[in-house]
Amino acid sequence: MKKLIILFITMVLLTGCYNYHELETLGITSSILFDYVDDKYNLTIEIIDESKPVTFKGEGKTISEALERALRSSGKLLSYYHLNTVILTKNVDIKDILFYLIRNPQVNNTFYIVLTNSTEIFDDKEDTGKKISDILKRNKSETFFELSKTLVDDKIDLVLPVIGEDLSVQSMMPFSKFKLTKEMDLDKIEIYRILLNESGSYIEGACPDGKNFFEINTNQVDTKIKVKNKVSIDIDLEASISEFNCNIDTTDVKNIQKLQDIINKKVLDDGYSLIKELQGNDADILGFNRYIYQHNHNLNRDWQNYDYEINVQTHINKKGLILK
Amino acid sequence: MSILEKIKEDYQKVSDLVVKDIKNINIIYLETLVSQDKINEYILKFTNVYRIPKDIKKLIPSPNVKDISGYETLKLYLETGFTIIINRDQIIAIETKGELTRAIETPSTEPTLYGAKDSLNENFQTNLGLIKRRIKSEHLKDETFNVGRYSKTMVNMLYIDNIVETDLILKVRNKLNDIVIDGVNDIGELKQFLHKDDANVFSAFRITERPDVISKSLLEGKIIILMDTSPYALIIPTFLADFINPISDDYTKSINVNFLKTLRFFCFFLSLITPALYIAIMTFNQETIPTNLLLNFQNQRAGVPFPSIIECLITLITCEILRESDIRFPSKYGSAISILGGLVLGEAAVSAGIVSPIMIIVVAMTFISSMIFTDVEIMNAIRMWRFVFLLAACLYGLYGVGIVFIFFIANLASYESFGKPYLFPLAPFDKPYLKETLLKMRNKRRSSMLSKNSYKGEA
Repeated sequence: MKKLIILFITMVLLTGCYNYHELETLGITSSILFDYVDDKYNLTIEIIDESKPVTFKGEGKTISEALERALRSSGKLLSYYHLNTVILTKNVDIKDILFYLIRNPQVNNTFYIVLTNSTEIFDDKEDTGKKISDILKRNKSETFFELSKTLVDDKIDLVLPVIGEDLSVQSMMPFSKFKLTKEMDLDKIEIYRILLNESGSYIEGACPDGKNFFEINTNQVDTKIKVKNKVSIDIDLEASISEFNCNIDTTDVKNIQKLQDIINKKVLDDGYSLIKELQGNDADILGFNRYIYQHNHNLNRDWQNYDYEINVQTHINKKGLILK
Repeated sequence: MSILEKIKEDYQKVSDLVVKDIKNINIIYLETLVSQDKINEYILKFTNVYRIPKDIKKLIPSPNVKDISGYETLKLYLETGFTIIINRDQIIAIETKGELTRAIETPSTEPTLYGAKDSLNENFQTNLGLIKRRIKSEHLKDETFNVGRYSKTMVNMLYIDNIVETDLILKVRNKLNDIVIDGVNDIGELKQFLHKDDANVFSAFRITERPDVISKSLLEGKIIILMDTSPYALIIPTFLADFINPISDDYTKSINVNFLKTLRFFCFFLSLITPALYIAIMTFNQETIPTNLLLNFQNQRAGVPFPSIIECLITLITCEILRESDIRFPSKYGSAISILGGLVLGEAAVSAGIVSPIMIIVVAMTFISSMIFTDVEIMNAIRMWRFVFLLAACLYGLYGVGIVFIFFIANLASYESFGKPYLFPLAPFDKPYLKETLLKMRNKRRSSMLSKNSYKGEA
């Protein structure tokens, strides 16, 4: 019994308090900016100290070294558990950073990753990391956890939002095997989301007489991608009219049919042009390689060699009209 | 030596012994225990006859007259307020007990909004009467034991013989017979002789002062221990679930009560682990709470000179001191202490920067949750475990809280109250008793753990 008590006390004394940190000694990191200049990592860490954002800089040959140097001037123990955003410049090798973050057990996985053109985005009055993460959440971007699926699977490519100096999303950057490609316009986002089977996008179409325009909101999207000799994409849209400036009677079934045809054509054209652009960059952000692999179990990235066929069926079932 | 001489010798220097010689009989009683009126009414009036008959019982109109055989019995009756009459070879005892008790009052420790407002008092006869008023059956049995070499306190075991398990009766009977002690003053003292498990902080008994609780327990197949001079009764066996279910639940609509029952169950855990969770999150597992909340905590902690655990201990111990002094102090001053304590804790400590406001909230939350339990024993047990959880949290964080929680459940699950598992009806799972305690539902059956006689009636 005596031995057992001694053993217990020793155990508590030797193992207890590991990882003990008082809350006020922690620097709660909101965002980290990675830059790579002259073979060195330049980091800027933004921590929240008594509700005010403070930034610290550090540089080093490796990420750990740069982080360590940034910590020295902070006087606090940095905690990455509440990371909001990781901001990367276009000089950085994204693969290195992403795999560093995946390996680090002390990082949460609900932060957002963005690209930026400018390194001077931090504000000493407002929590920039939190602000960017709110903006991206509003834009339905993917968090690190959702992105990490694409990291372990090489059959789908990464796409990251690019923010400007005013922190707004300016374009999307598709990657080809973790290499930067050409930026994608924001107008392509709607069709990109439809192809990813996500509802809630807005599609604009010209009126049948060609003078004005109307817009629909997709309530329900059902996109099925099948691979045989060619890749066929069947898109089924349930939509409601959100804006309507045309001079026609929407209670007439024939007119609605016309509108549906216009939308069908628009989605079809946009779809083909997006796929063509992505094929030009070899950026498979829609994951066609995965569908092809499921069909023929061929490990090659041969999505470029297939033909693509898109079929669109739009059903406008809510006219949005109360009065005639 | 005659019996009279023996009594006189034994009761030297006992000032209240009265021995009257009227004609050829001796009347003996202890004047502090008897009612003079009763002695007048039952005895003295009738001794004024020309010749006292051989069998004096024919003369005495008292409803309670006993024949005495041995000297020890004589002493016992004398000490319990009977008057002894020695008439030649005949010795009898006549009940002439004085009213040394208070009236039936409202329950003070288990108050309810609705339900009966009577409670037990120090008189055994009154207590038994209150119970028999509720259960009018010849199956309600009571066995009497005298406990204590000097005090000879009357202890009664009550049960309904065709509901209760015979094993349980035997067990309790044996334990009561085995008690060797000079005297017991209260039923709280008696229960320590019935269940000698000092390693566990939880109580194997529930103490009640409400006759309706007693009646319900008897009908469930439990045993009640009553003791003369104690206004409380013991319920045997008792499970953890019994403590968090006051009788008033039975008098309210079940759908509303079930919410409260769940809330109480939740509060049990809340009062156990709230401070431990707070310490674990503040010092180890900062990643577990939302960022805004964490920043809020960080702001409040800024400026407090102590580590969180010291801050927590200061507040908890101050609250314990406050509660203890509130109980000990005469109730007229109690409110003053509460106000003082409330001020010291709530306002001054925070503005002096000794503790953070969030700590006050945490401790207040803990104490409010623990006040749901009226039984002092369970409150003490929760307090004990609260500090164990706190220690584990300050050494190992949430991991430690998890480990201690496993230990806590294992400890409870291995505990027994008179051979019945303490976590009943959860482990082992029992539907009828669950419907009586942790939830309130329609229930036709009696729990098989407590009784072989399972049919209770239409629900």
